[in-house]
Amino acid sequence: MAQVERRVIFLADMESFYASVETARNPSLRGKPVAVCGDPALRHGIVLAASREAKAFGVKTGAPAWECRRLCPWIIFVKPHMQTYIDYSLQITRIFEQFTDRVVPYSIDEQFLDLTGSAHLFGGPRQAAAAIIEKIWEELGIRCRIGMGENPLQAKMACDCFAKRSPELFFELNHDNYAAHTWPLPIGDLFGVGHRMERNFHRMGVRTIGHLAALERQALKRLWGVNGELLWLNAHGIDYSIIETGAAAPQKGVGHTATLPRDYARPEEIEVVLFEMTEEVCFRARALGKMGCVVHVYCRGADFDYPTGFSRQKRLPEPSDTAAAVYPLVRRLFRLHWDGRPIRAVGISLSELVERRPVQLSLVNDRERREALNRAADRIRERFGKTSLFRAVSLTPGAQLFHSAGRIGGHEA
Amino acid sequence: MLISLPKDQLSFCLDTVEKALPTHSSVQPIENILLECHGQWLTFTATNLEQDICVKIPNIHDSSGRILLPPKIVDIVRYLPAADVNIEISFDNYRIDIKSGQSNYVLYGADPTDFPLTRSEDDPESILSLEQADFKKILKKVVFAASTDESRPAFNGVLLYFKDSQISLTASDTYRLVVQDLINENWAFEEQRWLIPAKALRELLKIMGEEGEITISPKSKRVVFKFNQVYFATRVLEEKYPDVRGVIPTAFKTRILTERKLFEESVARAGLLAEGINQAIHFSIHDHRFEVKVSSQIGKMEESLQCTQEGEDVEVFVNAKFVMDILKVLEQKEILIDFHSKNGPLVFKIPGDDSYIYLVLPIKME
Repeated sequence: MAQVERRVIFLADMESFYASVETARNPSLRGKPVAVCGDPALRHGIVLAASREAKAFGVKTGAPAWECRRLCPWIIFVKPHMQTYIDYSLQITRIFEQFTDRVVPYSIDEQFLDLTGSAHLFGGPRQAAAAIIEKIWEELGIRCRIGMGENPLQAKMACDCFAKRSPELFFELNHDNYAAHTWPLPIGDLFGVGHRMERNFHRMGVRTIGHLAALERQALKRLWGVNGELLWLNAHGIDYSIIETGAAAPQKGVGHTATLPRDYARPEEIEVVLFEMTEEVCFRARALGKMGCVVHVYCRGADFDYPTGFSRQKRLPEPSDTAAAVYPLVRRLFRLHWDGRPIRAVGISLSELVERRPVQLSLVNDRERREALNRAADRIRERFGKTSLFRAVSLTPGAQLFHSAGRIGGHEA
Repeated sequence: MLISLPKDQLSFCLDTVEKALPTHSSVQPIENILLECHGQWLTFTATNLEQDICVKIPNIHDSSGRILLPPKIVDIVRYLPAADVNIEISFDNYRIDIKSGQSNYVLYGADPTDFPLTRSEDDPESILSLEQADFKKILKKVVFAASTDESRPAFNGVLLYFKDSQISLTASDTYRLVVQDLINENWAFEEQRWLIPAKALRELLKIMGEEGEITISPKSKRVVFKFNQVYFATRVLEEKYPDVRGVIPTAFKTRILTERKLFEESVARAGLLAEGINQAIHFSIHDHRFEVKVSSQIGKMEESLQCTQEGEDVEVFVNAKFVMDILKVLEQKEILIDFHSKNGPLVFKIPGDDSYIYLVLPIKME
């Protein structure tokens, strides 16, 4: 019988990524408790990343700044530099690409690598992992941890549950040892189990991954549908997904969501933000040379305990990349579905992207002139910045343009 | 009360008014058909609050009254076994007994009090009367171009513009435009315009017959069409119709004359490979040759037709469906097409007839 080649999948994770980048940029921070933290005056005053030294004091990602100060009075707060983190992340990808051509970023600080075909070039998977870890430390000064598995799930579990605590920063799971290593772990450690699911499992008496694995697959499917079945598969280390580089997959939509600096209750203010976001999304569609057919509007209510808000979409009469054509629909969706309660976060997306050309010409709209105007405005903004040319509404209270310009993910670039 | 009448006649009445039955409505009574028995007449009425259809037929019966018939009765009558139908209606408890051949139905009708009746006996005088067959032909050439997309309400209508001895019908969905002029020396209209929902005209096309006249009576927010025993009223759209006639070019850069049927078949074949929302096919005209081509992710094809060409060579991309629509409704042997270079409109005309034009905007490729 032919031996099926065992796949070699790595998940590489950067330790305290933002904090490590800050330390690498400023060596005087080395060995000190550092927390990357947004502006405490606004909503962003929470810890985005904490260095190993800070974590030792109990500082956790997501904790508010004042709490960190209490845990560790001499902690050093650093403002986030999002563009730098993106640059570092791309550099890390470049390093990974020296080991395999199959690299898929999973998040800014986690990337999947498929070394099935190339590990032997470096003397085997363990040696390849060691070489990667060393190279990233040498070149960027960041500690990288690698979990290895026969599929992405095993790699993720190996990394999160073992490699992070292992002195060699590497751990291997495979079909033979998966059960022995993971089944004794608490159920919350299983990939895909969040707080809510953990509570559900505890209520059922399922406390470890092994308990879950011992249940019947069909029973989980009955309880939670496909997601329940997926968790059962995760407990058994089974994952049918493969590592595909995304280069071939076309982009399906452009979207933008933002958490507001405070809760917005006045419709005029929310509509200004919706308008600004529509402009941003249309700008991004234009930059791709695409037009969208479907507009999606999303608003989340302010009250965490009593979730409200809506998420609705509608088709445009014809594909568009112009705020003047898209915004009326955005506003209509908002006015139709908003329940009048304060809003905490809003989002807009344009999907079912089609090429800008060919385009069916129309009798009524002056698309040609609008396109020329958009092109000119885009060129000005590209050269002189997003705030060089703007709509007057962006000067009204509640407008976010001047606040969000120059930010990435809501933090300073 | 006892009614007896031929099944065909009853079926005609019900099938006709069915076109105005709402598919689902929040106003319960209008989901039914109103039957009124007065003197020597039976009147069937249905409404969806935008259109009313009403059919009035002579019938001898023994008493008067009104009742709501459940919509199921349309199908029930359609499937009755015999050529004659006897219906016994009790206006006290709204029970309906239908007998035809060996088949007996009992239906539960309803109280007609809440049925909204917009029909009035003093309808305005008609301003126009035409042969049904002629009017049908005209509508078929116009209505298809109106938009079904509800985001631009004005384009859901067909504009009827009356002035002096002329009527102009205009329909457009912003990508194409039909203008049909009718001229008759005997007419003398006051200037007026009516924007009639294309949806209503599509229903009207389905229920109009071939013989007899049809009259048109507009009145404030409604237009009433009367033909045979049918009374068809529709709300008119109050949107302002944009001035689209201005886009019709007076000169042409290229003009071709070609055989309509051959052209239609050719476009149908090319359309099989057209894809996406644009359904683009390619026309190339040079040296009295008319090439129809298409190239898509499915594959490509090309073929050529004979044509007589005036003016310069031209290449243009156009939606295959838009071209098919016009070629299907015309009956003439030949068709004339004016081109205005690659991003200008294509104007389809009937040779020797200036009263009809169909304009299509092309697809811009780069």
